[in-house]
Amino acid sequence: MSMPTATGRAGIEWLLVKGTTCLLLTLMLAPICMVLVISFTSGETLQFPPPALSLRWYQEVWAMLVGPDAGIGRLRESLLVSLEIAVLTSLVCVLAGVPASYALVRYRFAGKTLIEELIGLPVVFPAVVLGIALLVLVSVSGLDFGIFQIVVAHSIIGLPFLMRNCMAAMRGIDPMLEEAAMTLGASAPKVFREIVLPLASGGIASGAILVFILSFNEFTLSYFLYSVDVFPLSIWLFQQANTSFSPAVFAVSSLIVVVNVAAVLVVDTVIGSRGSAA
Amino acid sequence: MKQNPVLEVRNLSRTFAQGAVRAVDHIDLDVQPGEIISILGPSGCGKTTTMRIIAGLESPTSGEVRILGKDVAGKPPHKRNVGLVFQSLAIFPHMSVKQNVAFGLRMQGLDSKLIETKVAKALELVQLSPEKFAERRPSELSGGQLQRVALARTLVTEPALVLFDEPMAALDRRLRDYMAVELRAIQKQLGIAAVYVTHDQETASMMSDRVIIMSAGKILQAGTPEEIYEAPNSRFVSDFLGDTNTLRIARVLDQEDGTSLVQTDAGLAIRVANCSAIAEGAFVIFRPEQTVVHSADPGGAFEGKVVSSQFRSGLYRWQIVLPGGNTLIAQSTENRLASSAGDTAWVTIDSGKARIVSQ
Ligand SMILES: Nc1ncnc2c1ncn2[C@@H]1O[C@H](COP(=O)(O)OP(=O)(O)OP(=O)(O)O)[C@@H](O)[C@H]1O
Ligand SMILES: [Mg+2]
Repeated sequence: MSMPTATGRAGIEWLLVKGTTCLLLTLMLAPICMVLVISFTSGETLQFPPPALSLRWYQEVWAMLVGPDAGIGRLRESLLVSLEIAVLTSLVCVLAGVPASYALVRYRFAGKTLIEELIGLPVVFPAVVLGIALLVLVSVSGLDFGIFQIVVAHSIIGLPFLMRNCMAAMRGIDPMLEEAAMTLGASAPKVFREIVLPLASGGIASGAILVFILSFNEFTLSYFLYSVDVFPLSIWLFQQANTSFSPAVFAVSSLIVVVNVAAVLVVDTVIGSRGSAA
Repeated sequence: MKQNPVLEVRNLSRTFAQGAVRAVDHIDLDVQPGEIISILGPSGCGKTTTMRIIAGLESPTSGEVRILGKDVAGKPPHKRNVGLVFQSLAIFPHMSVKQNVAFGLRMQGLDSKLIETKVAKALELVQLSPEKFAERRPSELSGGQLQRVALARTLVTEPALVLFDEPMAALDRRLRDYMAVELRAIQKQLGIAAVYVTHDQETASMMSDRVIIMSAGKILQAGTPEEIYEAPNSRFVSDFLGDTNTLRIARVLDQEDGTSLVQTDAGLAIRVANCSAIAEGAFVIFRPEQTVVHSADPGGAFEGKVVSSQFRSGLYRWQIVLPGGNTLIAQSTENRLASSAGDTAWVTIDSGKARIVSQ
């Protein structure tokens, strides 16, 4: 960069780097920015750019959530069910994933490599296929699992994310700390509670938040498995977009973006503070 | 009434890699109540593996471990009442000093009042003032202080036997010696039985009632520090404990009243007291301080050329090459040779101290 003879070349490199960055950022952020801008419109339609800015659609959404007519658009119901699904999914993933991660990190057993491959790979099976499979299973059983059919579906795709975070944290724990605890009189469950869990808590928490976002945003699986009683927010948005298409939909979308960003910030601070404390 | 030994190890073996590595090879050892023994040996000789088997962190391939007279085969570490201070100390990073020391007591289910007083006492025992250190994080302690926390954490649980796996290897020489003396005092004060692992012979001598020399998974010699230093049973043991002059014996010239006159393969004749049968291919060994150098021929001495000389911690040392090619190390508290490299010097050997070993 500072080499005087290479200014021409450096100039081209600079242009390439800056250009690519701008292009990527635009591609990634432009649609979301557009949604954010439109959500502040004062008009009745999805004009871009908006004629003037106002908070009227947010007031509308607020009324749909807590106002006297809150039940009508079913927005509140959908939001609550999505939150409930996301919390339960995180819980299921933590309960199943933390012990499983520990087993994978500390012990050797048949099939271990296969499981590690599955967890390590980015989502290998298409969500559509998984959705169809689960739908078939549910209808063959003839039972109504209510909210749990979506929780199970989300847990299947969420578990690898939780376990990847959790295993990374557990790999960082010196096995001798656990052995020292044993020689000081701690049984295996106590070693797990007193040493492993606290030292892996950062990884577990960030994994759980990741799963929460994943579930909260998830559409494909939810689309196969929703019912009138369990109507997640992503499905609600899809339906609204197909029918009414009012700027209120964009206001809701903007709120979802805010929830996502907030969650990412929480993950960052959790990992950050753990990192410096250890 | 004779008390049971605290620890009895019988015929203990442990192999790794389908038997290809014999980490521990048929060893026996005992620790009596109130006694501290050192296991001394080079890196990789199986010291840590032995400790881990006794603590229950590793299972033996064969053999038996008894603690207070009871076979502990299959007993998990947390039920053995054996404390282990790790080579790496293994202080819990997410707990304060106080929480670290309290850990074992908490596992025993003691009430918090009692834990509080015991922790304070333990910290005082290792000379960490509770007011100053109790709330500190491990990351705020020096190496020597961490070491004390590790000691306090293990001692506070009052185990029947404490195993120390080179916990001071990371400290510098002076601090290590200081801690060794202190640890010895604490051990005597509490009357605990302990095994101390090290590859440093000075620490071992300072610390222990008895020393066990290990090599390649086997015990080569056991005895008090003095016994082993004075009467090593092999070249390896002697070398391990300090610089040793070793000369191969070519033939026995004369033997009477337990005193032998042997000739080394370089043609030197050496008189050795207190030895009976001398096997084929044996060696005569003696230490640098068991020689005397002379700048003039005193009669009956070996003549050689000075190769180099050093002065270190109040001791003078000379490397002297003999006509047959052997180099001897001689040592004295006085500067007996004002000579420089290349000069001729004469060496006599204290025949009462020289020893003959078969390997
Ligand atoms: N889990 C294991 N798998 C395979 N080999 C092992 C294992 N643990 C130890 N060994 C081998 O057993 C031998 C003894 O190891 P050990 O750790 O007991 O040595 P040590 O005397 O404590 O050495 P140091 O002084 O370096 O700590 C070594 O050759 C080592 O490579
Ligand atoms: Mg070791």
